Amino acid sequence: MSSNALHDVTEEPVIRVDRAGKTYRLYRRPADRLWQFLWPGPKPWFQDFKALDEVSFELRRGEVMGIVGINGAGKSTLLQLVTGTISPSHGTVQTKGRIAAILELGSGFNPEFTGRENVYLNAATLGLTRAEIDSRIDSIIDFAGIGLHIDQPVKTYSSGMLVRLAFSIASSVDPDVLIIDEALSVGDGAFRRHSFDRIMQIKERGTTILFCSHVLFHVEAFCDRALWLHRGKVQMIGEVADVLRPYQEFIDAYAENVNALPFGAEGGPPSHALVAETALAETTASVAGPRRDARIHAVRVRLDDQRGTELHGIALESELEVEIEFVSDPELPTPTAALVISSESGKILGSCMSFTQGVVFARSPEGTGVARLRIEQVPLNKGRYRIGAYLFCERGLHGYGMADPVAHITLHHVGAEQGAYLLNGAWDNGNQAKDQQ
Amino acid sequence: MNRWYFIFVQWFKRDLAGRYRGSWLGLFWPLVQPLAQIAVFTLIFHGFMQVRWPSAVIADTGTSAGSGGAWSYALNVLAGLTVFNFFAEVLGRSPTAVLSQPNLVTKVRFPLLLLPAVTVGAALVHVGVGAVVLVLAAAVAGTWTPQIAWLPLWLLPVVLYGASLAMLLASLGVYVRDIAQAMPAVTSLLMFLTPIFYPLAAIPPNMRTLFELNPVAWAAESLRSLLLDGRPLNLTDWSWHLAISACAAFAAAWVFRRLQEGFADVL
Repeated sequence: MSSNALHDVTEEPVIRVDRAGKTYRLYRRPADRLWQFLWPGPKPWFQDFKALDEVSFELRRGEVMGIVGINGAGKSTLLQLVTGTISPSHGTVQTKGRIAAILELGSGFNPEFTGRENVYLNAATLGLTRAEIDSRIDSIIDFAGIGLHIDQPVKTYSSGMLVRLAFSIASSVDPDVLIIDEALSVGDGAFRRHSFDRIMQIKERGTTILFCSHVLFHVEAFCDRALWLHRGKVQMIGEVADVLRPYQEFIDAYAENVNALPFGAEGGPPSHALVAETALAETTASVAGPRRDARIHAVRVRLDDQRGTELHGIALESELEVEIEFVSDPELPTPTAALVISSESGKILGSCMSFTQGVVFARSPEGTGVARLRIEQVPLNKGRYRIGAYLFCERGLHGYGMADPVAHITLHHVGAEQGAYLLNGAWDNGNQAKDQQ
Repeated sequence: MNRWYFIFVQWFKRDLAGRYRGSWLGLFWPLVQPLAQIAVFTLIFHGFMQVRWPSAVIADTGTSAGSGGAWSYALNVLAGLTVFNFFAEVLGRSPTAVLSQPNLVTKVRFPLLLLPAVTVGAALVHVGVGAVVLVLAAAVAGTWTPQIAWLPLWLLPVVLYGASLAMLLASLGVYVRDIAQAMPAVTSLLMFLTPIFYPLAAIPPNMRTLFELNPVAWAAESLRSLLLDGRPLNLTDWSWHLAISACAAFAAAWVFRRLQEGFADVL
């Protein structure tokens, strides 16, 4: 993720936020705000609420900063300050050039307008001039994959088409500063991947990006730096890994299930205990690979000599083997796979990615393949665990699909060891060892 | 500036198309609606209740209708309605002009002042249609008048009054939602308190000054005298209204800009 070469292009920061804060006046009713404006007497009509306090950072051209924090931490307020829709109550926020935001896709679409007319309306609203739209409209339509429907009223579009068109417009604005708020999981699988690539391109072009997401591996993959907000204050700011590690610990301790799924609500097949069973029967009837997409076709889980979805074994002894059978568009690079073991409550305990190991799975000409992972001595302590299988793009970023939980394993152990893991160590007699030396 | 104009045109088209596209009569609706109103008014007030219009030119030239005829009444009502429908639409739609577009307020940097401007622009369509029909009808009746050349001047204060109302209501409407609810009542009151289906001369003299203060009344009466009576624009009155409407527009724009800072906090 080093884009240092780009940083040197201009020394001046594109975004400079200096001790910025936003204090909201909480009014009981909207009308009280008007009274305050008309009669600002000694008794105020509001209570103060600090949504953001003393936030400072600078971003140069091409830098990408992730913003993390639990709900209500002030993320949206910060994004609004940078967008310029609200002004800071204290401090200053300075930005240079055109700012665009990928959020609330399709706001302002007119259902009676054709797709083409809506492109003009929406792009003009986002700040493009007529000439710019004229020169980009073909690529916008092309990217959205709307085809001839572009001259039909958008009320006839499917919701997927609407979202695709909206994303295509928003990502064509070519701004100096781009603000992305949880907008990466739009459309179907094929388009999600497509839009992922588009944002990577925007990043590589040297656009400064503020990226806000609950999906931490997206933040980790995209961003150079990260800002952790908590109750309106900067909890931590710095290199992305340095911030995300303590943040992850914080969320885990926070008990609240902020572990948003990486695929959004509708991504991936719904509940997957079934996949392992049903798949065996229909392996031969394998369907043609999906266009511009990939998916998990079947998952087989084996613990020692048992197969199925509810398996029993012994801690630090049993061998776990998982086979993920996948189908993919042969024109796409080979997908990567990951295995995730989590506690019954859903907290991720450990994972293993094929991307990290640099393994490329062999595929048939139709794009099918099998990813296999073997863990020889499962190092988990006694308990019941969830096994989840994931299929990712070749960069290990975009999730094509998942099956989590695909099976549960229960491990038995006689000792009283504490913690989720059993350490694979060996005690022996220290005296003897010393004498021998 | 050019960029603003481009955005304005896009939203203007959206506004009109949103209402009329997909309907059978489409952009003929701004024509059909006042015609239906005129037919009813003429039948009730002229036919049943014997309201008469003191007509100047039409009577003098002795053409078609003659003084107090149904034709003359209908044309006078059309002139009144043309003005009234413009203000009625501004009053009715401005309070939600900003309120109904929260994403433009909170999500993107958008010149929000364009929203009430679009409302005024769309309402001006009524004035345009009404003026064209008036001129055509006058031509058919043989009372074509060169005073039509005053129309652009006449329009100036009318647009400024409309814009002041629109900016004021659009910004206040964000905070006080009752405004949007109150407007239908206000417009129906306005309809009766403005000389639309009766002449200003019908008001008792001691009350007349009060009615003349109403800018909508001035707009309606001066449009009639221009197009129907063939009198030139009274430049003294016009200058006053131009000055007042310009001040009002500046004040309203100031209020809008002041209140605009809080829009994102409320929406």
